[in-house]
Amino acid sequence: MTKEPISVGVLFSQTGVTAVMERSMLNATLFSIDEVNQAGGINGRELVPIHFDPGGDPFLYNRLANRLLIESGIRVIFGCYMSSSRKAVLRAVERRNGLLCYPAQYEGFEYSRNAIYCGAAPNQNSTQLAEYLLNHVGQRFYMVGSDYIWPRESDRIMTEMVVTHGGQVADRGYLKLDAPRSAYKKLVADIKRSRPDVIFCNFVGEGIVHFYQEFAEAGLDPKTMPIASLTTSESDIRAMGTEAGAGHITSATYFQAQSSPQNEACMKRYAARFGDDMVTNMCWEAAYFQVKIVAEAMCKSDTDEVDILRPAILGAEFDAPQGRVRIDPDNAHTHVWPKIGRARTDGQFEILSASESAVRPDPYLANYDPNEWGGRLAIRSN
Amino acid sequence: MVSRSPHSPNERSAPILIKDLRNLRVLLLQPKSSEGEELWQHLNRIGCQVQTNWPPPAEIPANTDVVFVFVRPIVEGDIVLNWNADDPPAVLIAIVDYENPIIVEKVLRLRAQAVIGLPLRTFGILANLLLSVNNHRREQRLRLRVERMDAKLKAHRDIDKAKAILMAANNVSEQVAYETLREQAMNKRTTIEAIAMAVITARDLL
Repeated sequence: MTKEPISVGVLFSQTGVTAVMERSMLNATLFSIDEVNQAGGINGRELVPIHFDPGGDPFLYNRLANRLLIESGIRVIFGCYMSSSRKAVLRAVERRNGLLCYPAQYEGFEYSRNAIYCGAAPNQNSTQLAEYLLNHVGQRFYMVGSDYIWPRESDRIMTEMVVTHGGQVADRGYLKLDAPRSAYKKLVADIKRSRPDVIFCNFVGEGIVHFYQEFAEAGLDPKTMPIASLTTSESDIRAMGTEAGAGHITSATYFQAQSSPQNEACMKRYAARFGDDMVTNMCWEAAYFQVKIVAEAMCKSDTDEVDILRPAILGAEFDAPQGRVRIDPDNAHTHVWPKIGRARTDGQFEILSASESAVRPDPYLANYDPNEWGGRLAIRSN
Repeated sequence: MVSRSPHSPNERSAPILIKDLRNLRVLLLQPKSSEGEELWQHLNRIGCQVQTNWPPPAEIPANTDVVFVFVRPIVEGDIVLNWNADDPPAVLIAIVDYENPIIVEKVLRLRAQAVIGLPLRTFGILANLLLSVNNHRREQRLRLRVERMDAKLKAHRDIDKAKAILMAANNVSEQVAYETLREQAMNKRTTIEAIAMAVITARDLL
């Protein structure tokens, strides 16, 4: 057997507005690759990550993906957080027959022979959040977010569910990714005037920090008016300060504080490497397990040739920290475990409810019928 | 079936949206090939109700919304696709692997509403599907309107002609001629157009 290493590409931004989250995804990827190598690599071959920093710029994502595929001759890329960067890398992998492994929740309506999707589709996080908020928090929503496709689509889906359920959208506020702090202050002032029951927040990156901090500074109380999000994670709360985050709600497939043997063992190993004050989150976890799934498929097929490797990934299962996950053979998205958490004062999440089974991904779902929630989702309140 | 009553006048112009995709009935006419299989998988993935058939059936099943057809095998195999392009029973989307004159002409003759090229790329199929379904429905509505206007126009001509006949025969004004036609129609419980036709026919017999 040849002992030549297998190189894989890693594209997460260490700079730019989403650097906090993407650095965490980068660490998860490198940590997971290390574990693969310690366990013997790919049938004795070392897995070697080649990482570039695209700085949050879609143009650079595309250029660096092409550089990895052409100059470095790699076939598999772990990377991307925002949809704009995923689209930019997809163009490259579809042209060069590479494989993008994408570890973030996104808006759905995509399938590519050159991608696998390891984050939640809207039927795996938005539906559960809507159900929780409408039943336990209130009916009057204020929608806010960063101004690009994912927040807009996420808002559209949530609005549909809220309106179908008899709730209402009080107002909306969208800000550019690089909006100044003063814009967040102004938005929070308007929310204070509007007094909704809940704010559905689709800010990403630094926007999350600005918004939650301004919210706390305005004296708004999460007990009576919580912010609900699909993106705000342990890492963002660390960045904003635990006081600004406490009491707010997030829907995710994984929380660092969840108790399972897989998660606890994984946290112990990660802490041994990065120190006890390390922090993880839903995208960290997806970035971690997708490497394991791909590595196992590489061992099985003994190659990183995409036309042989990808069929070995489809249908694969793995005992991830969130629960046992499975790559759906029909749509290449992942069966995941939705959960609703509320941030505690220590920056970790108290899990308010969790699905009793993995939920099948349905990335092309366009009808969110509340009558189907009970049967399909089996969310249980603890 | 989405286009449940394509000729019903009250369906109006509400577009078929992504929401309605899962009600669309799709017939995939394809020989066994890997690309046909991939298209079948993707149509299922987006949630359409898909049937597949080869060779094409003698008649397109009623309540089919969209037919995807692989064009080259039809041309090469001299296979008959029973398709009335003047009054199509469903939306037709052509799947092609050549853009040469023979294939393109066939696509035009069939009056396909969209074309999907091979090798298959899953991106764009959903948008093509919805665009063509909506274009097809708009075309049906417009055709229905043209038919109704044609009929109305003919009726007007007939009434004018009948009025002229009565004016000459009875030496009356246009107003009186029209009132005569209208009274006859009311007495016989029929339309003015029908009476006008009767007057014209009667004159032709004389």
